[in-house]
Amino acid sequence: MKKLLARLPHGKGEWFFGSSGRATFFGSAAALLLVCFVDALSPSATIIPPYYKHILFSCLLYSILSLSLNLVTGFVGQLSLGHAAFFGIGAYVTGALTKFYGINFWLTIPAAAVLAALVAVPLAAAAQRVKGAFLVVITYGFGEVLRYVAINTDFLGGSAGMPGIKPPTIFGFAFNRVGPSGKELYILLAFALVSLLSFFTWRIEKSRVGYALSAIREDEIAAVAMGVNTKYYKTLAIVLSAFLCGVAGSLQAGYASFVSPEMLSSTQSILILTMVIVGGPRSIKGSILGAALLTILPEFFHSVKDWLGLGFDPWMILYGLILIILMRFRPQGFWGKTTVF
Amino acid sequence: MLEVNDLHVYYGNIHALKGLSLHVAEGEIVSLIGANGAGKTTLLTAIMNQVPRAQGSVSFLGRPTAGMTTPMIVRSGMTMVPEGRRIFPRCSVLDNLLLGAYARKDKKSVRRDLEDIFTSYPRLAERRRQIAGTLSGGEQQMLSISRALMSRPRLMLLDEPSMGLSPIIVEQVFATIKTINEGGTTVLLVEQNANQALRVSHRGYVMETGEVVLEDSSANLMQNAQVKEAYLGS
Repeated sequence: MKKLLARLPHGKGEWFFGSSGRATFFGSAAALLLVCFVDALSPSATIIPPYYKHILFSCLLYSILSLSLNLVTGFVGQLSLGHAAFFGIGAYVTGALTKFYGINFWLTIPAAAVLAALVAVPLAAAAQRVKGAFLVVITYGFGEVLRYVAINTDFLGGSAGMPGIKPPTIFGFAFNRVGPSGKELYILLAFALVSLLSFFTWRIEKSRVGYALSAIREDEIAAVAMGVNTKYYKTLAIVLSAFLCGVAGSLQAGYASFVSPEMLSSTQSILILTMVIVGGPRSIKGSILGAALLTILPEFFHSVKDWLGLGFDPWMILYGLILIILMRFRPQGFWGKTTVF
Repeated sequence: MLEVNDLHVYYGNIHALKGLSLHVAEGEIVSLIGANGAGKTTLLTAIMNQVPRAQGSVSFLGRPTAGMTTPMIVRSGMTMVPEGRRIFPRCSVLDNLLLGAYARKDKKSVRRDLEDIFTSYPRLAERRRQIAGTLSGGEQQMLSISRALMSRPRLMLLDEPSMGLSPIIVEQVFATIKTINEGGTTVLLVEQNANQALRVSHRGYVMETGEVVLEDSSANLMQNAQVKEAYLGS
């Protein structure tokens, strides 16, 4: 088992960029276009059901979230169990602004991202002083508080959530009216964001900022002694990460046209964190594949349950098993290079 | 080069430094010896502005350091080799050294200094791609000192460089410190291994519970009856 896991590809050549990376980018872009529009070629039959496109969108959306969290957990080595809160803030901002004020979807994205980033500032202040288990508890509490704020704000729909958010438009066409299933433009938009974020992460890793973040992760006291402004970089990582989660929240609000307090739940936060850990912290490939794996597998086993008529969901057992085996034999995650904790 | 005047530091109610004064002149190796809890490490972190000072002043190169952040102090030419080495364990040897030059902006001369370090310490050159945490204790100490050198310091503060190392390696570390000093870097050396420290240094201070109790040339300190009794064990 150990040998088998050790043989997984890792290390050289990140996805999307670098020598082999450009091929991945154009390859996946082409594949995505084909998947999205193959149905448009033959209007008589549905080749790819909307359900699969929904899963594809979810994979990409969670990739944005896991890549964002990777900046904090992978680069700085800080655990956060509150990242769904930033996602939720982004979604609620877009929801409220488009629904109640009739503001264009595209204009709400920066507002959502900036508000998520601002809310992250006090969390960043807390992260200056504590780490490890203490930070986990603080971020968890932070997320839960915001969830209760959402539940108890009638203006935002309370615990029932906020339905009827208008979809984004492009040249006057609503996103959900374009393409065979109405999901295609969302998929392409999410793919563009994942690509941008991957590129950005790849550039950061070998930059001055990347070195500073690694130093903080490895030994904060030594990092200070080297002249690294630890306060600044720790804040930067968390605020930037929240900003990006806010963008993802906007996208989700436009896609589902519905926002609920459950988007801010700790279950979501834990899921995002698990994606980063399973895929491999500090790895772009790991964050994307971790997100895809933990989005596709539950759906797959849900269908297995229906086919076999099982009285329980086999995924729940497998999920636990996979996590235990992974942590025992490959603690750096499937595509990670080294552990970060 | 370094002037510390009447420095007071508190940790809550604990008065860790009680009006400490010392000075280090250019080109010297000055050692600071004292037992556990005397405040040696506190002094170094206070000089680097990592802990707030309650009273007193520190000046480096004739300029007071009050109000400077640690990165600013590093940029002005002071560096610290922290206690217990504190290398970046999961980074490569090369990355550790590059991080040492973090405060510098001149990329070309960083590369030249890197080559110099690899020439002086071939062990590190051989292992430049190795993960630093897998080096032996002595190699890690060499890496930690080399990393500090990468910032091109004029003054190097060393905190217990002999900690946890075997006697042969300790000899090597002190020889390295001497070489660095001969290369023009001033050194303030904090040590529990008083014997070794006084042998390489020019002058020494003896610290007890937050204060300097004795100050003299190293040669005299080694002859001092009190010092012999308490720190040299003979």
